[in-house]
Amino acid sequence: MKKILAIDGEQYACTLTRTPGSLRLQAGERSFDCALDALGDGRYRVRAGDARREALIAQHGDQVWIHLDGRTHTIQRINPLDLLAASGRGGADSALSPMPGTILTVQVKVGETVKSGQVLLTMESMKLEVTITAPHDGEIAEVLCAPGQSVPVKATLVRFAAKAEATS
Amino acid sequence: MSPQPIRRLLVANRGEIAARILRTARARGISTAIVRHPDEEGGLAPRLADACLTINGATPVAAYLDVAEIVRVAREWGADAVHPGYGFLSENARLARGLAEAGIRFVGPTPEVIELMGDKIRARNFVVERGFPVAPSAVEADDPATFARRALAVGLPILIKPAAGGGGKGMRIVRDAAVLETELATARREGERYFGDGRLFVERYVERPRHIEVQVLGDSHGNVVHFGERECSVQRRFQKIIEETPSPALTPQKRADICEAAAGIARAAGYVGAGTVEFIYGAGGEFYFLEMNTRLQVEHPVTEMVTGFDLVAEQLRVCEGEALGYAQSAITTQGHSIELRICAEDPAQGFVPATGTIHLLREASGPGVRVDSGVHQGQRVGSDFDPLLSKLIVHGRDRREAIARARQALRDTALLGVTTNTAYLDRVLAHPLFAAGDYSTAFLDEQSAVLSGKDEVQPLDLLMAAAALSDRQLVDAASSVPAIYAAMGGWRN
Repeated sequence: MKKILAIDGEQYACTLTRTPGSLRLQAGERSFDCALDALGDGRYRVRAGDARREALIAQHGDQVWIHLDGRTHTIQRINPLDLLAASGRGGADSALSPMPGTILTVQVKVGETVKSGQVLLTMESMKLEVTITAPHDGEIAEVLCAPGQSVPVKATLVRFAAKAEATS
Repeated sequence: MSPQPIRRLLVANRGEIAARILRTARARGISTAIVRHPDEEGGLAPRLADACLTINGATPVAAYLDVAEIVRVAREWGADAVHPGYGFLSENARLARGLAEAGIRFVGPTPEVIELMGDKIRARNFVVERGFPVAPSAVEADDPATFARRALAVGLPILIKPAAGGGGKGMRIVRDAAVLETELATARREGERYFGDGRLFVERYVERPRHIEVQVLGDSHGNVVHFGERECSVQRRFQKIIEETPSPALTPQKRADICEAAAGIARAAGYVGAGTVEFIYGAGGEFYFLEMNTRLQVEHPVTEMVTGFDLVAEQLRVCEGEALGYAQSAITTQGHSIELRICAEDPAQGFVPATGTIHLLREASGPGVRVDSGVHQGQRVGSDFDPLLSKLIVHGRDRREAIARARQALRDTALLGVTTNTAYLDRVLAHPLFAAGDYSTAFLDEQSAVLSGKDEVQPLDLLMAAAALSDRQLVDAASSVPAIYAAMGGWRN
């Protein structure tokens, strides 16, 4: 089984196999024996090759947080099959909320043509006002939020019409 | 009048400051209550209070800003005093008056002084008239029709501020006359939204200024003292993230000048309670009055660390009617203290607020380390409130030791499940200009390329191992012997 580990945003494809008496992790050209022992209360002893360290680990679903050597790292475990499923959408793209918050104003309508950098909407989170602008020229296909609405991070706020395919 | 002890104290706040105030109140043997909106989950303060009172409102923030609601629960619970903390209604004269009418004491100055200092324009005039220094400015209300022209006449760059504002909300720097109108409109909207008041004023923006403030305390017997300064120049978006005392910028003479100016302003205002006088300090040693905050500051602990005073206890004593009982000369400082604000935010994404659940929490400890936290493990962090989760405060014999302790304490802090600024704070502490004490309020912006530099992911192998081996699916898949061999093993040999 293969999984992609996105460690602080950098992706590494990893596989784990059993070797006599241990587990072997392979990621690209790296390959080493490893072990993980729970010490209780979220504390673990990690071993990778000859290196050993104590770490704090918490996880929720595919999200893992590891505190190691005084730094907290965020790791997303991705099953490659999920990536395939997500790639089918293609064509249209959208403006996403950069943070959780409340929509203040929506300044575009469905069918409207916008220029790159044009203000699409404004939102507020923890007393900060943020302006969401068009990433490129295009036509608005869908507006998926309204003033006063609370949105989570990475919610699709505005969807653009699919660009006409370049024909040769 | 003889002192009237506080027996039942309502803390009309939340988060770390509510927990901080509750600790002192409990140590003084006072019964305590806290307020809370039905939508709020978790929090450390409700665990420390004797009672938790529900306040209602369309949103949690609206409930905390509702004077009538706070007065109602205070009266129903039988509070004899209300501590407002900082933010929310802490500088709201209507709360002080509403409580007084209900026979309940407000832990803070009189409504008249709150109003004077809360109106930035009146406060400025008050300070100018008494001979203390302020920066050149223009006030919209003097003649709204000519405001834009008068604003430009102050001399670019200028800083636009809401007349009713504070805490950096709605402030804009304008360096180019062409964008003045747009920036004025934005500042006015923000002023209306946050303070219910769109009036503005502008003042000359001092380039590369420092923000230095002085802690003052007055009693109801006419005594006013100061507790030295705090250096608050490490800011992003006008919000402080690291504060320290003493300021590395001040000579003993400048320190005496600025602290005496602050105490003088408080004395002139007949100030009762704890307050902070903020100054802009220019590279040439000039300083201007900025504003006076008529409440406890977020960064008050650094002052406590070097003076040994408990400022919340002093607030409560003054509110009870006690005299300070000590002179200025009795307030001495020892060593150096630094505070780091640990916030739920992502510095790599322009400090956007982060949300999530704190799945695992480890707080720093050790010599000279204090943690003022408002959160606990398992708590959900939403977007309803300010992103401040907890404060890490350290003390050292000197600045170098304080920085070393601060860096170690940051490394010892683990808050897993919510993105925080701890690694960013450590990069700031590690910056040579911070180590040299050579910084201004422009520091974080000017050094953003260095400070946003992503740390190299190290040690990668250990991280990969921890991430892979804590994944049940991966481990199970590796551990299970393929079915065909297992089946064969059943009857061969």
